[in-house]
Amino acid sequence: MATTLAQSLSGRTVAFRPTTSQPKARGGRVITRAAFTLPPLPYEKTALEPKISKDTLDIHHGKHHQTYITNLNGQIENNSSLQGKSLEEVMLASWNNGSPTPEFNNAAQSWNHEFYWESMTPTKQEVSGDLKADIESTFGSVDNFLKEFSTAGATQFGSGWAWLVVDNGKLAVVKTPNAENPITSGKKPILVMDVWEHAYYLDVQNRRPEYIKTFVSELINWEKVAERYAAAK
Amino acid sequence: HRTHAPRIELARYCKIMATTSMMRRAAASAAKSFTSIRPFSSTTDFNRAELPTLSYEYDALEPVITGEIMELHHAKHHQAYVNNFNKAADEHREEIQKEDKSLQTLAQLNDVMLFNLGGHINHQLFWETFIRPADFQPPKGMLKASIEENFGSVDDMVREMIQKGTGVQGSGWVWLGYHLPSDKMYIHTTPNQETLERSGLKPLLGIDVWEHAYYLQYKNRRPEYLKEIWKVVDWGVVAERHASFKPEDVTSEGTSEEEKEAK
Repeated sequence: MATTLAQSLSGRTVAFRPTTSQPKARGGRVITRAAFTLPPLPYEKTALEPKISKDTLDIHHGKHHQTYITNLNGQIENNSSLQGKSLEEVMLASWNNGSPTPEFNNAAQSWNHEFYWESMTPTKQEVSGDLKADIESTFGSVDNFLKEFSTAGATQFGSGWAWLVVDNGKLAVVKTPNAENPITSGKKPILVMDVWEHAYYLDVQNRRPEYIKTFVSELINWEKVAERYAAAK
Repeated sequence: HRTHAPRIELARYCKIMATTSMMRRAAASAAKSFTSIRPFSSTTDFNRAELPTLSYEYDALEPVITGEIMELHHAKHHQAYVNNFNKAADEHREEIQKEDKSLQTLAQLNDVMLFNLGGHINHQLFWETFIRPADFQPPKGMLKASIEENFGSVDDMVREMIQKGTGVQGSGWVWLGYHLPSDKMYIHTTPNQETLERSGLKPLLGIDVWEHAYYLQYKNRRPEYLKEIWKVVDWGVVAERHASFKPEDVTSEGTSEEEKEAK
């Protein structure tokens, strides 16, 4: 099969094999069925300062996230059963019903990080509309929800993620360790916060609660969360 | 002169009166690893975890590990494990004395205690095995011989530690461990703050691969951290541990069988 080098969105060259399968839409963006590429951040690297520094985004996006994608592509090249699938499909297949194969770590982390970047916004937003009403009826108040979400992030021992999901039509807070993702248990995530140390260490060092407070009070892209919620209901 | 961390009597720190058998087993098992063993005498008293003092300055390991990292790691991270264990232990003792005690609360507190106790134990072991770069000595004698027997060479062992440490997904530790029943060494990784004891191995040398152990200096470059850290490993302490674990009839001069034959 002929291969051609193509410029990825991040400007790095990536080898890809053209395929004949239809590209699928995800969140409005078309992704090809070729090797995965690092999606660009939805904002400038300086856009989240001083809440999250440019240095952090440089390394978190440009190194950590990139490495998961690069390594995943390497694994898929040697595993034809995972070729021609979307990132989510690869993640679910490699989850292997709870006995994850080596590809899972890279696939899930690639998925999780993309979802994380899109969960944040440079300009503080307030939750509103249906989502706000449903959060209030589920958790009592938006504050209560933020408290529960913060606690999930703070009590995740070691590395992991805190999520707001739709579970059988109901909103719920869940936390997952390491690369794990609630999609594998049939839930629909609408918001995620990375609590791996690399997400905050350069900025607030050991003070994870401080990072969490900044995230919940100033970084959440409620517009995006509402959009995902509408699609998930 | 050679500067190294003091032999912390882990048994003293681990003399924690556990109200649950799991805590008791974890602490007793860790306590047995070291020379002074104290029996548990009470089921209701907790001895509190205490942050050990380092016998070296925070910047003593530079340029391999910065003073900034050492201070955060010891005074913040390790301190937090100590504080959180003590707090959860207090709450556990309070809850278990209630008539309407909540099993769910007790189970949650057990989790918190186990995690933080593991962090406390693992980090105590960690501080003990550091030495200034200028005072570094490579492994020798019985320890060196055992490493070579198990891995081929010290370099081979180091290579495997680096490879396995790099492969830890998420947070955890990579250990050179000693298996008493078979008198063999193994390299084993543990997730989060699990202690090596749970895997049936005695800890000879542990390297923290949680991101907080290296991130400010090495960023995402964990393999580089794992490559550099060998410059500050105190093989003397590792040798002491090895000697203390080995079956009593084995001495550095030879096995008792050889001695019998010689007679």
